[in-house]
Amino acid sequence: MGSIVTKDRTWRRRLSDFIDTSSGRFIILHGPIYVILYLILLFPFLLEIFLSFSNWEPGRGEWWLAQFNYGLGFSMVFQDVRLWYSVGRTFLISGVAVCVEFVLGLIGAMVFSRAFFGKRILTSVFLIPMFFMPVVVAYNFWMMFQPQGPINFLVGRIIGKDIIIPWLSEGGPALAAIIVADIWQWTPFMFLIMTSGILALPENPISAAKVLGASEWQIFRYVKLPMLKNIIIIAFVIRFMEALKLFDTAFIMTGGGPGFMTETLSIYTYIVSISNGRLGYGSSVALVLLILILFIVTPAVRPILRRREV
Amino acid sequence: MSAEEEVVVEKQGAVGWIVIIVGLVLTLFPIFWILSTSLKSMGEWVTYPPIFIPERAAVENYVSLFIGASQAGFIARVPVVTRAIIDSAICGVGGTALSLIIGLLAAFGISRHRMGGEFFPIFLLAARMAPPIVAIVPLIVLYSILGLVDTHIGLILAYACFTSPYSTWMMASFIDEVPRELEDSAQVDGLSAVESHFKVTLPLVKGGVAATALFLFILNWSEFILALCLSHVKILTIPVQVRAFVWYSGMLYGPQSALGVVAIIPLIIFSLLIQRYLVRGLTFGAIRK
Repeated sequence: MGSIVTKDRTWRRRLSDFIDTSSGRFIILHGPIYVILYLILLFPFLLEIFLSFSNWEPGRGEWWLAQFNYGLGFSMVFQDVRLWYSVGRTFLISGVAVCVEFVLGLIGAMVFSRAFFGKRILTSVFLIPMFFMPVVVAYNFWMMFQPQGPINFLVGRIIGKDIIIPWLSEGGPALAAIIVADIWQWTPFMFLIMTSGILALPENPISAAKVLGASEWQIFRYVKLPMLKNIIIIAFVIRFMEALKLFDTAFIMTGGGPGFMTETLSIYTYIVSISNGRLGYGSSVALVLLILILFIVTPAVRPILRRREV
Repeated sequence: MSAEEEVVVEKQGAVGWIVIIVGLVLTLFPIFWILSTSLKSMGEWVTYPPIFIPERAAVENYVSLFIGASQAGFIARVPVVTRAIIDSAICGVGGTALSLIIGLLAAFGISRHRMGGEFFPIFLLAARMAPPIVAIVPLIVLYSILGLVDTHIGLILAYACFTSPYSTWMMASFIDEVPRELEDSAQVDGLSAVESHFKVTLPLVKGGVAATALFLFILNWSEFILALCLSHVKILTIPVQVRAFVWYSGMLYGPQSALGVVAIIPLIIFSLLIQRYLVRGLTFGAIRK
């Protein structure tokens, strides 16, 4: 075949031949994504390692001339109480929010597994919060949580006496407010995924359990829940990872305040490196956090990948 | 007798309806609040007891967003947000298009050729799971070297990078559903493998491409932290504009809420269009309805 083709080998022919080889296919199909991932993620990652060993602050000259800090940045990171508080706080917020979202979402999904009038429309309505821009959610809850806002007013009406809780200017209430905003926005995520999980359940084991006289609760606890296990794990992993990134909501609602009572790890890193301009130290913080999170992520994403291969 | 005929979906009971109504109230109240605030005139913004339904619809809140100025007697100047909308649209559409193209190509590689082996899928997911803030500092340095700070191209590249895991996995899940045999027979007819991806499979996943595009646009349109750190003066996307609004003129409840409403309208419309594919998108194709 080669000898016949050689006669009209133009550059086009050669190109298409090259594309047909496995390395050609790789360049065409995976080249672009590698270029962008390396450009935006991997190269900056190397840069970050360099910067984290420097004392660079933008006001004090160019980054490549910054002083070497002999790893001092990292020893500062490990002694940085404010950072580790913010890490702990982020895990606390994520843990509480994701668990509440899961329970509410599961209850919703169970209710929606039955037939009723207006189910389709109500499903769409319940999903709306998920598509609110997080910044707008934050602004909206910021308004509602003002001391004279509707939440204090309505709670006051329900319990029968006026209350003025300064939600956003005290540590505990501010954390609660952030968690409430997160729950409002992301319960629909759990609801949606659990709904599709319940919908996909095979009917036979459930009707078999019914025939054997199992109660509704027993069917849920011993038949449905074990079959939903994989989907629950995937939902938890994805939601928890997204929750750990928490920035927009808390940043708009409290800006990390009062003091630094509501700083999440993203907000703290932002304040150190952007607001305070300590880019060298900010890099050390970011690098430590990145390694910490990769240690959590790499095993956690396996269920997602495994599921895909089936 | 098939099993399907026996399936009787139970009717909703009273408890179920109570749950639905409580859920509905909790879901809708914040939405109602921002809508109602966006239509309140200045005197009604901060009162106690708070006003739930404005006396008249203060449309000037919306108008002032587009013509600016203090025509309604607002205490502070309302910034004109037309530019923010245009910038958001440019970066959102650009980022979506780029992410879609690279995601589609990579999806063919993963789905049809098992490219990337063990490492690539984890790398891709980890890229999405790590908080963007940890990449921000070096990204700022890189962007100032390349002159990309405060440019549309810069934001488009960053958006495309951070959404490419979603586009890759979502497209891969659509491509997986098209039988390989179609491509095989096209290759027997003389098409190369890559040609057969585009001439045979691509037309069959058109719906999936559209759903993925809308999904990516929703993500890009709401993106905050990248836009906040990589643009300063020349580019201003809507989320950054909302934040500037809140921080620098925190008292303008009406126009701010109006901006919030304007910002989420496209998101709600798009999400309704792709509701069928949402689970797939949100779980990186791990769960397909």
